Amino acid sequence: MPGARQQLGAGITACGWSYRYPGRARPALAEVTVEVAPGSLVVLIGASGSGKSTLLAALAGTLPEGEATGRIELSPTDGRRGLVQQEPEGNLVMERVGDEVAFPLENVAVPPERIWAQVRAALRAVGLAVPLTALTDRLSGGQQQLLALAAAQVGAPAVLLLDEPTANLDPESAAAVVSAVAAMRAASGCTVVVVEHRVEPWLARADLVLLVEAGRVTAHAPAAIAALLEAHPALAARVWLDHAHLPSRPPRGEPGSRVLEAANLAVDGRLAPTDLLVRAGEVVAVTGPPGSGKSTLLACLGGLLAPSAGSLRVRVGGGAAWREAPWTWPPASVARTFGTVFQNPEHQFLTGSVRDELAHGTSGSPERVAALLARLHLAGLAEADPWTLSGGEQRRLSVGTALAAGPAVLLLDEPTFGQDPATWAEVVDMIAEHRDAGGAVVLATHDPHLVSALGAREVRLRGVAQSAESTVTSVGPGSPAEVPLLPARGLRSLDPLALLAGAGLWSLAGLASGSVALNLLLAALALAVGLLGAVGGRRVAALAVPAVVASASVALSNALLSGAGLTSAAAWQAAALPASRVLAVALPGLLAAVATDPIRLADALVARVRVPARAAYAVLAALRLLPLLAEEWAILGRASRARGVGDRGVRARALWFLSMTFRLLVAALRRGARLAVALDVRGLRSGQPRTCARPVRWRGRDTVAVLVGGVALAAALLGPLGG
Amino acid sequence: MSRRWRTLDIVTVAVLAVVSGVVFWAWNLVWSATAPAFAAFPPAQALLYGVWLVPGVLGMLIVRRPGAALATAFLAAAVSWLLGAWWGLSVLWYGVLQGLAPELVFAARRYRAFGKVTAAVAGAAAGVVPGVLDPVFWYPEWSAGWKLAWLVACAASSAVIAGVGSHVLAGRLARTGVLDAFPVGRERRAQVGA
Repeated sequence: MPGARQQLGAGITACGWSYRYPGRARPALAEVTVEVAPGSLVVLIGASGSGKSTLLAALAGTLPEGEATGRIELSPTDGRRGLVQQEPEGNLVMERVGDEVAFPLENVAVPPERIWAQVRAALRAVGLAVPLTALTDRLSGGQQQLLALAAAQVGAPAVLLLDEPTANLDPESAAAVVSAVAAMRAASGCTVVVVEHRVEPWLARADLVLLVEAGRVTAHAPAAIAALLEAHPALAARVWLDHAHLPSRPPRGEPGSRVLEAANLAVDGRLAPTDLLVRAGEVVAVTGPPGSGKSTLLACLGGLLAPSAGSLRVRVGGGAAWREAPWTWPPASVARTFGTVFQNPEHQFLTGSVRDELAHGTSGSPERVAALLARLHLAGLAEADPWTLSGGEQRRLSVGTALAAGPAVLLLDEPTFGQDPATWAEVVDMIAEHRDAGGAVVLATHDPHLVSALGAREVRLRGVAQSAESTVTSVGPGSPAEVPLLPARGLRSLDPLALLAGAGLWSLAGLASGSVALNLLLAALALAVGLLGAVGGRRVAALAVPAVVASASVALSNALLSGAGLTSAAAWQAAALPASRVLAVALPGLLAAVATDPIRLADALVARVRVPARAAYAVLAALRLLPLLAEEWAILGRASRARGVGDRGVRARALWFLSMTFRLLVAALRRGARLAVALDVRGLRSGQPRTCARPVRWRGRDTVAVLVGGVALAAALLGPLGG
Repeated sequence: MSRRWRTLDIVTVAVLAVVSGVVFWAWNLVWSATAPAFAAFPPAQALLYGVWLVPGVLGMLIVRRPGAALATAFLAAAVSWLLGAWWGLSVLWYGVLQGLAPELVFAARRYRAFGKVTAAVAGAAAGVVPGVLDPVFWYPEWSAGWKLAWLVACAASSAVIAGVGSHVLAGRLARTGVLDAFPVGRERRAQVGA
């Protein structure tokens, strides 16, 4: 907003405020009385489950309707809120960078001609130099957090709420986020409330520390925090103040014989050719910039992903024979040899209780499970559902499940990401124990302290030469108010509703027609429109092939099943109608799907059909999960394999399918919850004035598109060729 | 229970639809791969059909707001369309009808019954839609007996997979805590006394 720079932050006042979640017996926070001056930077610390998130959600206005007494409010009360959540992609709701930042402005009805200049200014302010048409899911985690900050800033928030914004970032990206926040404060004077395990970079600038402990909140001066942590040892285990007290577990002796030898391992576009040698009793730390292929390398080493080139051999026990290419082994054999710990522990959970998780890897030996439960400090949670554990507990359990089967090689992907000091130390201990017992360890990490604590041998990946398509770096000048639209020609330049209506009528014509000749004509014309309409010959062919296959399968099943026999002409004549119908019905719809830009469809639905804005854009945001979930499906497949699930046989395949689907659902619902918060915080409401930053126009060509569909339907219903 | 949709409800319905789209993609492969096993009596393949009818019932069991079954089924169909389903836009019309059928069952119970039996009836109702439409549009050459067998197999499969299966799935999802913001999650929490 113009004038945002002069605006001051909001004060926060809580007076005897208590809150209980619906369905819970005890209040999450009780008797909170706090006064925060406008423009302050407040650091919120406390153990997980202490109520930090509840307090932040209360300030964000995203708490569910529970039972509250007392009051908590911003002054002025109508102050806007900005929120950045922990998972970078959970913060983003749009497909492209420009639309992401424009969205909060549209929601407060900023005139479209002013939107794009503000979007560009906000991106400059956080130091994110990417084109406005760049895809948000192609950005690095650090860039995504900067983008979320830009989207928060553009709404001119009176209070900016940060929920562990750097927990999932490498140190350089984290520093960029911290300094972007500092720049924002300096420019707008907004109040900032940050929750973070790693308080160090924030403390120097903080005005106030709020300690949340067992539902109570107390205020402290930042200078007093060292004394505070000393007085609360339990809290010191949860908050990173410095790295002075971290445990160190250097190797005790020289590494043993070779266990793993990789030569020129490469995956197209994701991992440059890499050599690696790992010995028994050593820890190898794979480091490198984001996107350099660390996770990909681990997946290849653990037999979870077949590389596109290179070789890998594995030898378990000094005298044993070398075995090649673990990605070709059966899953059970992979799970016996390698213990893989995924970046997100939830990806690898298979059962409904902590005990069953550990039993899965130990072929059920109760003594071994009991010993592991004690080792992991999870004995009290043995019957709990793994998904309900805290982040630290989940991390310990995931390392435990990887160790349960006694693997020769332990592979860990960012095992200390977002963890508090206590869990960090536990993970270091477990890795060191495995190493000192003669196991081999490869870990991918951004954490320099982890590398030094274990005395690990560091292998730095350089990264693949990035193609122009996969990276997002430079930004063209462009005039400030220019609308950043993708080049649109042919079918893509049509209004999405016109395209859909035309294609819909066209495919109705296919259903209505009783004539093989008309069906074939409709299908051929649809293909021609696709070729002439700048959809691209290859896309058209890619659409046509499955449609032809489907048509052939319908023809065959009708001919087979008509009872007349495959050699009879009558059988095939009868089959021709449904087979040609498949083509006529499918092709126009497929073309329309390829040529539709989802956000323009949402714009048009809201502007023209009066679909409520909240419904249209919430669905649009959820659709953005589609490619992410397809990727998640691939990761879950690897995690299943790592845990020995997915052998041949109908029963095993069925179980695999069920387990994959269930875990995908859990992951998706979690993402959905974060997405809903992000949408609410960006001011998406129904029934209030809203603008649209992209032009929504109906032109002559759109009318023509609808008429063409109408003519096709009329021909099917009335024409000489029709039924 | 409030009947107003929260943003979370809209997003959840859409997320269920997106997951269905991904799962359908995998299930399409299962469907083609298992087709030869049913060569002797093709209508029996409809026993696998229930998977495609899960979204409507599951969406309603979780979100419990009027329109949830219709919205989830329609959006799941829209996602298959965007993914390039073989059947093009006709999946949208199927989606509407396959959502409307279970929606009517839940509406008849005034959106107050979400038990196993209601779910099974809603599933069966959804299964009737392809049970009737598929033979008309795609298998017109089949004998009346086969068409009837297809209808019965569709409805039975949907009652079990889409109905009872969705009910079990919603309960299992609630155990993980991801549904704590929904009635089904809160009921679960009340049971375990947390």
